Amino acid sequence: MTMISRIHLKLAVLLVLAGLLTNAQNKIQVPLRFDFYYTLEEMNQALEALHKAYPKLTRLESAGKSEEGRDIMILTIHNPDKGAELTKPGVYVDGNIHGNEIQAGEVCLYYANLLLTKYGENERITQLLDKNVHYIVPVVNVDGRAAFMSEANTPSTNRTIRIPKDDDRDGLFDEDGYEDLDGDGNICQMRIRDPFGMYRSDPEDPRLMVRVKPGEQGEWTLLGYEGIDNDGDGRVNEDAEGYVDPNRNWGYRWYPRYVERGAGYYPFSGVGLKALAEWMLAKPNIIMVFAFHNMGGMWLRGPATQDESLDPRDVALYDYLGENAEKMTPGYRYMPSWQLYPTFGDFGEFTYNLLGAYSFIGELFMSSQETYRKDITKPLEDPNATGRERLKFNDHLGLGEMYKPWTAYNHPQYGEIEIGGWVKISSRLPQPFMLPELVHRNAAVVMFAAEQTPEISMEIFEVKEIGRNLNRVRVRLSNNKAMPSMTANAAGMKLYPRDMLTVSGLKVVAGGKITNLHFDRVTYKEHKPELQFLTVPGFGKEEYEFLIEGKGTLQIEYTSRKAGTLKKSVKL
Amino acid sequence: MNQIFIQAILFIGLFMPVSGARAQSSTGDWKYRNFQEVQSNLKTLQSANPAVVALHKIAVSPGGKEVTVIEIGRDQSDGPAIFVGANFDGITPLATEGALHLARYLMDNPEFRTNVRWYILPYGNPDAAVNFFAKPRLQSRLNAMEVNLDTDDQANEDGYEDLNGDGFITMMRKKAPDGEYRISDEDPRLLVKADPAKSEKGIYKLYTEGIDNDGDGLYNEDEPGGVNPGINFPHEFRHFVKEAGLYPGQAPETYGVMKFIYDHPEIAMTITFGESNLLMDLPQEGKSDFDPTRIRIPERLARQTGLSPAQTYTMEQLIQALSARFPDAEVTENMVLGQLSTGPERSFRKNDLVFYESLSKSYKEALKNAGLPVSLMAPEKPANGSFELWSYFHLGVPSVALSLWEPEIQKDTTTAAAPSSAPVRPGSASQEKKPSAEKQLLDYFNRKGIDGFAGWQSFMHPQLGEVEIGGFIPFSANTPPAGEAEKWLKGQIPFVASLAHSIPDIGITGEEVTALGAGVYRVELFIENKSTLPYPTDMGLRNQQPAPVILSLDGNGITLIEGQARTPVTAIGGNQTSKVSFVVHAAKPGDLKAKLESPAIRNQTRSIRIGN
Repeated sequence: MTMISRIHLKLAVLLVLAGLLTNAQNKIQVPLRFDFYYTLEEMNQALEALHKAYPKLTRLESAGKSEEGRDIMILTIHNPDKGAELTKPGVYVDGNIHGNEIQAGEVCLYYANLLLTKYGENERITQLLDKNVHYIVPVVNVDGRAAFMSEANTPSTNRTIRIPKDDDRDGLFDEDGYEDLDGDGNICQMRIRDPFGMYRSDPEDPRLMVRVKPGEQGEWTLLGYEGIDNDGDGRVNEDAEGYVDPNRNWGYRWYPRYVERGAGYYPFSGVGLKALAEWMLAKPNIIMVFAFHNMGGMWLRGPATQDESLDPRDVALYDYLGENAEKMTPGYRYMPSWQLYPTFGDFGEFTYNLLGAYSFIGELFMSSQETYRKDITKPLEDPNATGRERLKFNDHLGLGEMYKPWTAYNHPQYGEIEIGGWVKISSRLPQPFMLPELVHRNAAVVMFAAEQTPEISMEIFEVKEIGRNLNRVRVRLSNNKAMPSMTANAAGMKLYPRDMLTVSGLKVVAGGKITNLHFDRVTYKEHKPELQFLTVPGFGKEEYEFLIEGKGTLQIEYTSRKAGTLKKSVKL
Repeated sequence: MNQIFIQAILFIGLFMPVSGARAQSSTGDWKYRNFQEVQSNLKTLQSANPAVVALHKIAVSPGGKEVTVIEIGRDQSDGPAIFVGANFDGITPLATEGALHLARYLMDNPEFRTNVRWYILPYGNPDAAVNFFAKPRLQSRLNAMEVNLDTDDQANEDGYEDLNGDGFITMMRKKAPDGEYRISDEDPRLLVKADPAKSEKGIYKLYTEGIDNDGDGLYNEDEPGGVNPGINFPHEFRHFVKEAGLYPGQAPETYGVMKFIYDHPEIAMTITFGESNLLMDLPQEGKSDFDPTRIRIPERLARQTGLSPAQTYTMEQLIQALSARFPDAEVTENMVLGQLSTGPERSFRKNDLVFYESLSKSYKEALKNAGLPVSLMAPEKPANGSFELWSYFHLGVPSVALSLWEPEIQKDTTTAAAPSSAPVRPGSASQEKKPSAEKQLLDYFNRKGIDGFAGWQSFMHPQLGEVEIGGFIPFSANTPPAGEAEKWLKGQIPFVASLAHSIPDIGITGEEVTALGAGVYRVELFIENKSTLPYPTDMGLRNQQPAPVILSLDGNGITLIEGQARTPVTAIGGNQTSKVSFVVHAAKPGDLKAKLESPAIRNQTRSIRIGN
């Protein structure tokens, strides 16, 4: 072999190796791809990659560890040159608090990717990184996502956090879970041939079953999800992993599990949730919260129970955001969450009531989007047609990967049965080819809300000498955005100090709110007139008057937990 | 100053904590021990008895104090346990002493720790507890968490000051044309609210002792400290009350207690030493709007079941409807209640009042035998968010609460009061003829020679001008003088220890084997609860929290024909026996092992001969 060919060979080997490497890295390379579902490990690698590509604009940290010791990662995004983190209105976005609701993680990751890759290119996004700070937690239930992706599951299992619970109260914990009997990576359904059963094969598509009508002979009995009776109590899969619902373990109106299923023993018994809550409480600037779930296509706000009511001022802002969100995500409905079902101890109620942040739950994806029809604007009439259409969608667009054909299996307890039905990545999860649109539309809604976070400006609009050594100074605070500087609920419940307008440098003889500018009506504050408490409404203003004795420089400062800080001075 | 604030002052300053006592200086050897002394006492107890005693650090308070549970009976490998929590509000030093006394008593009397282990928490709120020993003495329930109580621009900026230097934080009264208070007809030292309807005119304004440090017109509205762990538990937690915390379990003391207790499912009873007394002031049966014969169902449930939201149904009908809809599920009354979103239970369950009454009888008996008065001033009602209510409603265990001491009243006025009436407060006190609570207190001080009230003295206040400072001395109404305290502990702690004998004692006490022929046998096992308390409580049945008691069968060559290999034993009342039946097949004679197990009982096995 000549030298040259040896070099060629080496080169070729190197090229092949490099090719392998880039293939592996290609999957996770900024800008990120959104045509597949990330494993938890890949999700964390993607966050690392974003952080590495934009070190100045990002901070990557762990809120704390989960039950199984995994880190809950938070990516913080803003341009620190345009103001300190805590002086910017915070937008918090999380997902995948239920382990099986994985596309929620992709929405968060996409939002991060969008902000970073378009910063400096797109005017709206540049604004968002300059004015706001974005806290992004793609996967809250890290153990759940890891287990959902790596183990056999139904589309609905592994929602829980990993605290063993004795669901069937037999003294044993999590002793009878599902089994992937046929080893295909999915927990599907089991059925047994039974002339007395409630189901028969659908004559139009024998893969489906329909309920028997009176006068018809049955064919099948459904046996539930794949598994065996592990503990010999005559029941199958009745005490699976968990169940503490990570979205019922938060500290606002938490009730025990005889009232709210999945509540856990006490609020924040989930260690990861506790760490995340404590992390959030240390970010008082958070004013807008999104938490993504699947499914159903909904924008949910509080209250979570019918017996609570929201301040109409908060509802007005929610309506504005929600109605716009509906238009950006066709088919989604905006509504109070109790209308879906009442809940206690959930995340959104915690952030709205105890963090003082406007909070939306985004329920991603509708299976009605899986169509096989010429005119999708016309609804299907026959209830059985939905399943048939979805199967056709599976055959033609899902490449047949969404549904497992019924296959014979010899069950140790039931004998000859069949296993089949919808697989893990189906039903609640869009097929990967639909992901790019889903993540973009929902991230656009977050962007829209982020743009509405308060933007306050301060103006000293009048300085008038009204007596010897006495000046009248008038200050206006106005909000150029739709969102007030504080929720009406937080102000009403005295959750935290309201925005403050502080005047210093000279003696303040009197000071107070101007209630009618045209008629010089002012409500003076009896004590400490140099310190006024207020909220600046959305697209609104607040005006204050101070009577100042003496000459010199007067400092005027506005400080808000969620809407930043402003300083002005005037020489008298 | 607004109405609410005045009421807050009264509430905080006068009638709840009203108290104190110069007379609490020690007489004889007995004295109240401070935090360091209590901790070193626990350590000594542990190091002297390492086989029996263990210490558990369950939290660190925001003030940096360790929250310690002392375990007594670690030589017992399994079986039920009692948790004793003391001084959650931080204002009951006697409660802490009671916990220590109990620990010592259990060491000296091993018969109370042979069937039951004990976990004792002497300090549920160590941060606030230091105030009793501090100068000036202040009755505050707040731990050292930083909370901006008045939601202004600063935290902890306006606390109390002992202006007249008498060593106590009391009250200030100032003559004012718009005053709301007048001198009481009962005693010139007391003030009452003037009632305009009776043509009464107020002449005084009332403040707590101190200055307005931040110049906002309010006095002492943001004292250092933040949360009272004693009202930070999740049952009936009060959101948006600063002292209760932002959410249940926010206080590390509270979270630590909840975690510890759920990590120990063997805890079958809790005892609270504090301000309430559930054996003196029995819980009342609540009224409920829920009528199980006329249930209306929400629309969502109607859709699922095919029933009508406009009609009413009985519980039985709903169980049947849901069973038909979910054939695989075992539909219970509890499940239906969950579906109806009836919310959490708010009153003690009727069936549980039976054991409260019987415990109360024994308690009063014990007081009488110890020569202690049974006629006492009304203790506080258990507070929303308190440990004692949480224990009963969330853990589902018998929750005993004792105040260990209340000022004795000369004439029994409490029994005549309607049982549902609120604890004695300024307004309700002026019911006809009966002396007010404050008057009774003054009379009590008088009889006992206790200096419990600081007479009004004039003082030149830097902001208010001429005022008078005086009022009830902190702790005088809820804490006996040291000279009296030991007697009360000696008289009550043996009763507390004896509660070990009322813990459900469940065992297999008999069996009957009937041959049905062809190697088939009916086996009947009798499970008896030999003590007076039920297992679980009725509330425990409702909340499904207490650990189940499981009966399991195992035998070589013996197969179960009817029954479960692991059978949860249903609730067993005090002194009752329940029967569990099985049908087995044994080809040849053999032994069947019946095992009864639960964290809350002592596990046991019984061998049963099948055949011949």
